[in-house]
Amino acid sequence: MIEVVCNDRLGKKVRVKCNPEDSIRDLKKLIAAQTGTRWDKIVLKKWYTIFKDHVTLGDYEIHDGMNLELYYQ
Amino acid sequence: MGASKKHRERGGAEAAEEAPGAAGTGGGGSAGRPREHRKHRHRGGERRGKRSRSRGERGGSGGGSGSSRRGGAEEGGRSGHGRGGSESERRAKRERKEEREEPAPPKSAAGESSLSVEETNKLRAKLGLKPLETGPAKKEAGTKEEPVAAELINPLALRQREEIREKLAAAKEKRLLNQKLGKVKTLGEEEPWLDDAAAWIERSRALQREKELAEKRAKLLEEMDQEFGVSPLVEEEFQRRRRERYSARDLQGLTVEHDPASIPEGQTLVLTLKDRGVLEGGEDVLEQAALAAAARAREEQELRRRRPNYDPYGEQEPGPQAARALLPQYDEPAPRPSFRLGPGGTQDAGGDPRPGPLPLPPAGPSPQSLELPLPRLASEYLSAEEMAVTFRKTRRRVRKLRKKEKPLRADDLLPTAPGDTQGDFGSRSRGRGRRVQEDEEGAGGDPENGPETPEGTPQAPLPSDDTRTENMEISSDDEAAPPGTPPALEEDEAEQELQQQLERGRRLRQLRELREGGGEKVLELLRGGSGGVPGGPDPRGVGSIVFNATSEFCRTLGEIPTYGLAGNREEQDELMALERAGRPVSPPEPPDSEGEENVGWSSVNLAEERQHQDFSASSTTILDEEPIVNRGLAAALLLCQNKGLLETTVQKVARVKAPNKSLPSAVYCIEDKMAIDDKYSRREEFRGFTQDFKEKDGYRPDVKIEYVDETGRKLTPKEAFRQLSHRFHGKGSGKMKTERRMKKLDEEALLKKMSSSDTPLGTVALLQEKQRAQKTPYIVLSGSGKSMNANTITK
Repeated sequence: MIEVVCNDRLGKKVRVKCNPEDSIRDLKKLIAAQTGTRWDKIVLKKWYTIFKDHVTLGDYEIHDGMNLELYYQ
Repeated sequence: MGASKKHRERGGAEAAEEAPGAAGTGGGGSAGRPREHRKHRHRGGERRGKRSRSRGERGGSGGGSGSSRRGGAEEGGRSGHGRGGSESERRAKRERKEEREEPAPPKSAAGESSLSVEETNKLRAKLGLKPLETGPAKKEAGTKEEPVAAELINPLALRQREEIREKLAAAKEKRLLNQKLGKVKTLGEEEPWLDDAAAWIERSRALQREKELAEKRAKLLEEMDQEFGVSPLVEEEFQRRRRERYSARDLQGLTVEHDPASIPEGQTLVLTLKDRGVLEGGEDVLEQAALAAAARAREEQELRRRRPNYDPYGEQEPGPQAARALLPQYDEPAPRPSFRLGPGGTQDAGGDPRPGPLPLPPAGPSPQSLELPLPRLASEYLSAEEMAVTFRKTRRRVRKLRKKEKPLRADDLLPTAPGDTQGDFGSRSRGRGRRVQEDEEGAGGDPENGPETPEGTPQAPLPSDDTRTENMEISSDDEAAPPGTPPALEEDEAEQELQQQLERGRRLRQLRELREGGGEKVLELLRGGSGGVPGGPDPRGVGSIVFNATSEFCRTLGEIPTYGLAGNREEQDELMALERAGRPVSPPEPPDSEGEENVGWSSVNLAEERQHQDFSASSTTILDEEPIVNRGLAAALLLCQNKGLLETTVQKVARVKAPNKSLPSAVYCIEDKMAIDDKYSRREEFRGFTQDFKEKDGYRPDVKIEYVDETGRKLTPKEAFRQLSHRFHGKGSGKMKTERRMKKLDEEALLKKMSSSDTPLGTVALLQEKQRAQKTPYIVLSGSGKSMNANTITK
């Protein structure tokens, strides 16, 4: 179980617990449950890398405590 | 969110105030970190409770609101600590508030929100995800805030463990193998009875004994059965079963759909029931699957291979085949040979072929016979019908000169009666141009033409114009040709030509006569009165204006410069001449030379020329009219322009031409004082003392020498010197230098023209313009208004 921090830089900062085998889509759903937006409106980025929905966190090598940028589309 | 944050922070701050001694966990308690150990919060709560109940409650509730669902339990716990009754209301309110806030994810003081593991698992279950994996996957034993020292990795121990594992694995494998192989008897193993006879005997005896025992047991069982009277029943059943078994006699009467000959002798075939629809009536048919399939395949192959008999010259009588002649390949397949099984399921000799479905007569188009009409002998001559079809008589359109329309007189109309005339007088197609003709006649031709026209002869009823033009003939004698005459196909072309020439000659003669005669002739003719036929067989009035379709067309067309210069237009030419001659309003003396040569519209030209002449004559006057200056600025300007006071030519900007040749310094020569060497010139030199003039004592000249360049600009000393030295040395700067100088001068000029209040591109002015256009006091500088959103702020 890893905990990922997603920051909006506009006041929304969430810590989400998930498995490394979860896909980004699942992570987005968890984030959505916590922030109150729709999961398909969330875009997770790291600098200019946009994380795709179908790839798992392990494949993206997202470890515990990593900060992800939260954007909306 | 922010407000609540403050509230919580305040709550946290309060708690911190109250329990300054508490470690960060106190504040952390209010922060509501889910991972915090319960004991910490409890401790904090206890401490608070100890200090002062009310304040502690507030702080505790503040902390509780920041916590997860555990807060509810803890609330209960805290309330267990003991709260005053006066606080109960406030407590209830706070609880309610907390309950309301509970569904929202808990937020820490930092504004972060995170769920505990249980909550996350619940959420995941709701979303359909696996629960969180906790345990060995966790690489870090503690959180970020509470790091735990990781255990040391001992490579030695690791290696030892690996070795032990391997050993164990090997031992296990060996064991299993031994177990498997232990059962197998090797050759080395000894069986006692193989070698020793006595042992063998013993073994065989033992086996036999066992067999006997088994038999005995079986016998015993049977006897027991018999005792109980079960055996006859059992036998009965067996027999019944045998009886009821389905045997060959049940197959009597069934059809087998194969040719009895095709079933080879001595071979057993398994027959199955043929497929049949559920609702189909009828009896069962047996068939052998393979044979049936083979037969079907054979049929299809036949169909595919065989094409319907193509017999184009078939002369045989179409018999029953005709019924199926059309697309026989799509007919129902022929019935297969079959036979019926006799009693006992045996084969019957021969079989009646089942009548197949009757072939339906195909409904198609009736056959057509291909018989051609019999050949006949070809005739050498064309028959009447063929003639009519093959040859068509073309009407030769003979090009005839258009007959001049005779001017219509009232007398002409006399003999015509309503019933006499052919054609429709009322229709518009008649008399195109004739009416106009009449009017013109009346206006222009009367005084002169009256006596000339010999139209005493009554005319035959005139048909419409078109037919008349068609039927027109040249010869003047034949004007009264009956309308219905067939076109003069028979007339010889040569004769027509001759007639044409004669006509022309006559007309020319007439014209000349007219001209020479002049006015006297006219008077004479006038005096001659009506009825006198003038000389000359020319029946047409000289002064009459004759209209012609061609001339009208040409008139409206416009002036063709080459019109009439070719030889064909003599006739037109004459016409025009006649026209001109006959016109009373024409200019008094049309010059003769122009009569024949200038075609067409020379009269008009004359008038123009005359006008031009007038103008030229007037311009030779010496004094112009006095211009009127008090009429306005325009007149004054005109006057000035005429007088040459205004500079109307555009002043060209003086430009320095890069001098290809040197400056005109030829007039300069460097005076060499050393050259003065002769006696006499030296004598004239002045070697004296000079003194100022006394009378010019007070004269202090104020000299200001201004140097100017070509454009009139005042030069700086540097530039002036440059100019001087150029002149002195006789050569100026090269091309590059001069260009650079020019550029610099231009830039200076631009600089002077620059506006002080605006950018060089006039941005301020543009902005103001835009504002004015939009009617807003502001301007949106970039993008669209939509982009000014918090959501679109990117890193």
